[in-house]
Amino acid sequence: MVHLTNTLNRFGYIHGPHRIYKRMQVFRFTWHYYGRHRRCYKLAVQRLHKAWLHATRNRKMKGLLYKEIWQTRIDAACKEHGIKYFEFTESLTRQNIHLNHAVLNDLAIYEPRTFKSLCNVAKQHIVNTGLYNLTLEEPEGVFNRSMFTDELKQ
Amino acid sequence: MAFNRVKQWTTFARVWYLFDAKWQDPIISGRVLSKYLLGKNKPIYSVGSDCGDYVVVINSKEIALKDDLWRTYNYFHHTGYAKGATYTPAWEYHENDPTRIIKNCTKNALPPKIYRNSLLSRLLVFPDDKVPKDVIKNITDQIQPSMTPPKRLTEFSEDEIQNFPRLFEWPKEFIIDDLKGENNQTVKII
Repeated sequence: MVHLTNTLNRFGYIHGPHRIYKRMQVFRFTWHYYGRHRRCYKLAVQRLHKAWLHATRNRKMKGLLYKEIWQTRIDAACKEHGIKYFEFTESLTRQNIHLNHAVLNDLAIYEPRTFKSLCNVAKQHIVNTGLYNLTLEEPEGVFNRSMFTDELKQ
Repeated sequence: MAFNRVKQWTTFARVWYLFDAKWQDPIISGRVLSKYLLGKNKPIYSVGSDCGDYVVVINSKEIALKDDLWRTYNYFHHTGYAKGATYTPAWEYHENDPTRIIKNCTKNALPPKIYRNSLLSRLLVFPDDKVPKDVIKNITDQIQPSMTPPKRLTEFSEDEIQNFPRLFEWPKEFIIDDLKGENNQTVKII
């Protein structure tokens, strides 16, 4: 058995691709790191493998983190219309309005009138069923046709 | 639409809020004010976006601490040298600077990040109700206080005191009226 490749390699006949190409692949991911971790290959590889481990681990947490932000946004939007977050969500689920947190978040930001009408639906449901202690306050300076029924009859 | 540019300005514009701290608990009100400074009162809130509001606090001299905290609660400071620890009680801390306790409580309620000082720079505290004109012209809205200030006994009328609902009436031997006669000397109403 003849090991030809070893002998040829010893005298410089066979080379693989130069090792700079392997390193360039790593540096492509570590250009934004701090200090020698972006420059030196030995340190950069260690830091890169650890970063990929963190990325896979934290991918599960991404959904939970988004849900926290959505909850704060929906809570803020509910507070503008005089209703609390847990009152709002529970009354919607009891009315079989199964809207996602992501959808409610988009409605609160980009379609505030739709969100306001949803709040009114929830508030009327709470008042009718007596779920929570909530009263509907009429805004000042707004006149309806129903206020002047006696005058209209005359 | 042609007005998208204007919508952007209006949504990210900073609103100036007024907060009356008279007879309010600074620990509870600090939690409330921190939400307005961070921008958690808006549906556009995000962690990175700098969408907080300005808050102007008045009457910070008349805050009300809970229980016996004026006497028992101590503010700690260390100079860094040996035996450099100092403990100042809350009443002394409040006498030196009446705006300091409510600032400290909001600082503790905010997350311990590097942007905390920039948020606190938007918190303007005044000991009295004398606010400079440059500040007060920007105010457009008010933060609702968490605690409703109670009425003093002197503010009630005599009909309200007599018609106050009670389960039973005490016999006259058990009643000592503090506000009448010689007993009035022991009670001081400020």
